[in-house]
Amino acid sequence: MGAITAQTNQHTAGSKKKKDAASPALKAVLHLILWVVALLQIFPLIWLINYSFLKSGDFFGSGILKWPKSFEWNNYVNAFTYGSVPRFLLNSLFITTVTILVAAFLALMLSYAFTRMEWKLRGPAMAFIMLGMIVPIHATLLPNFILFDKLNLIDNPLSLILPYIAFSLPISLLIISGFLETIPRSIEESAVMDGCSVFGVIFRIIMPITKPAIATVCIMNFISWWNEFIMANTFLTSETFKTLPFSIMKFTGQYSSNYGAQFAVMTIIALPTVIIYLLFTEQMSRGITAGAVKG
Amino acid sequence: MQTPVTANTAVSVPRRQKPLWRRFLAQWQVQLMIFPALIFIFIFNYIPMYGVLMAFQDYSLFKGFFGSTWVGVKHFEMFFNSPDFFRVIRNTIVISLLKLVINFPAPILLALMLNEVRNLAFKKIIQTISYLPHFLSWVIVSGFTISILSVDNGSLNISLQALGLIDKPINFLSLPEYFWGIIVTTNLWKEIGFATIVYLAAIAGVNPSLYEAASIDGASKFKQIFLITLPSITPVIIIFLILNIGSLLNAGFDDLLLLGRSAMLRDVAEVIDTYAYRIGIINNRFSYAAAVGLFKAVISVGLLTMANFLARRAGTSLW
Repeated sequence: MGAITAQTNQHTAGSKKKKDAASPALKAVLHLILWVVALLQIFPLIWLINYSFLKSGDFFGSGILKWPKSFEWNNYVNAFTYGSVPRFLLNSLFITTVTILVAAFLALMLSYAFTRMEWKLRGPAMAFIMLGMIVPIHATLLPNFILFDKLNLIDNPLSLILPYIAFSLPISLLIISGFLETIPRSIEESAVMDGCSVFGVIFRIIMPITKPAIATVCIMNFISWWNEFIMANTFLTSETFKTLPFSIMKFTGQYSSNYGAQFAVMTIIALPTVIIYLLFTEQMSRGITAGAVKG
Repeated sequence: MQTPVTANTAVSVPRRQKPLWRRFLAQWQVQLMIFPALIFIFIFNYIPMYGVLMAFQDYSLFKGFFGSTWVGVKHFEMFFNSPDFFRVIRNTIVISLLKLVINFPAPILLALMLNEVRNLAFKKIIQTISYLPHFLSWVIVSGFTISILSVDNGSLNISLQALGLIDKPINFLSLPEYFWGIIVTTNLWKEIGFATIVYLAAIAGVNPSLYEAASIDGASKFKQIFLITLPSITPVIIIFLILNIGSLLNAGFDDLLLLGRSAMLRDVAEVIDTYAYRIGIINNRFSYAAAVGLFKAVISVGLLTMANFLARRAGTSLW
């Protein structure tokens, strides 16, 4: 009898420890699973970079990752020359920069008007903008194609910049105004007392204060438009204005056997977004959670 | 009695009659703050809705919207009677359901596991890595998926052969039976981290005293997950579930278009959206494509309303 009670006592003592920290075995399994997930997530990227340094001859043979005998920087040179990377890169940079600047500028003014001003149609206007978010991009492709065709804007950077701005606005407004609501109004009030105009308040006081939110918006918009392909594929027809994702397409035709250069192009396209993501992870996840978990 | 009334109206009438555009102009600074944005959204998000009306016309680019002849529901009948109808609807629903059943719970599971990790640096690393693919373009993802799955020297074929599971390399991207699996896997890989972050944020908002009370009462870790964490984040899960059910007909677009390019895959890869895109923009049958799009939009609105109705009965609602 005594032995049994001792055992149960021991048992409860053991389970008491379990409550605070999971058992080591369980913890090890958990960590193992998470490492496997991480490995699966990162593997294709390592694979991509690895293959972008291989010579054409190196592709054959067994093994999944292949250590190159010498790094084949030639692939990157080929990517630049045959893939028209420099021109497409400039196009992409131009289109995304204009888009994110105009979108941030408009969204800042909008957020100020929605959070700080009282006006009659504020509610309907807000609903109007937020409902715009529900409209799926591919549903607008055909009508916008016809619209741009009428305006002679097909194959013009504006045919991308304008819809990109329109599709950036709702989410940008959501993030910046969410941030603005947390800021006390006293600074603006004293500025107005000192005779500052509306635009003065927005650009000399609100803009510096909301910098974190504006940065989040710019980064998010940069990433989504840098990667955008379907609209670009629909509205651009000539080589002059095509964006970076088209560099890959150049290798599907006559240079399709040049795998190394294809992987080099993909690495070049992925690099800016990956770097920006790694630099601003914190800001990105804050922006997303601000929009998603509100109630 | 009469004089004050007339005096009153005499005073107020001129003020009320100050024309609208004058009052509008007087406030030009304030109007400038919102009008450019409203115009942008109106032109590029709302005007395209007129495309809906094209579905009832024989739209021609040369005659324009007002010159084209109205034909009623001709294009809808054509779509319902076309041999493509069943195939496209089936693909849309199957791909969408597969994504829902597999890719919806996966991030919740990952978030629950990450939440149990006490080592913050380790948690951060896993989170960062799993979120990374979200930032890659589908153009890149499809590019290396095609390479990994290719017949000659694709990594998957090499490893399967090395493990002795297959004798000959399989041409994964031209055989219809593998396509749905490929789409679900690539989507899972790309998007798992994004949703995980949202769920982690929701879990972080759970009141810690609940866990303290539970552990004093002797609840195990698993019990705490099922009795505290999951119920606490149920509202977030339900909202995402509603959005997912409401967009049941959005089976995907970029991924299907880029990975399902091969004509051999059309039978399993073409969904309503990509079908409308191919018919409309590549074959220039604008009205037919608009009819297909409108058919989808109507059903989507119905689904969203139904899902929200169900959610309201469960206690959470979108609107």
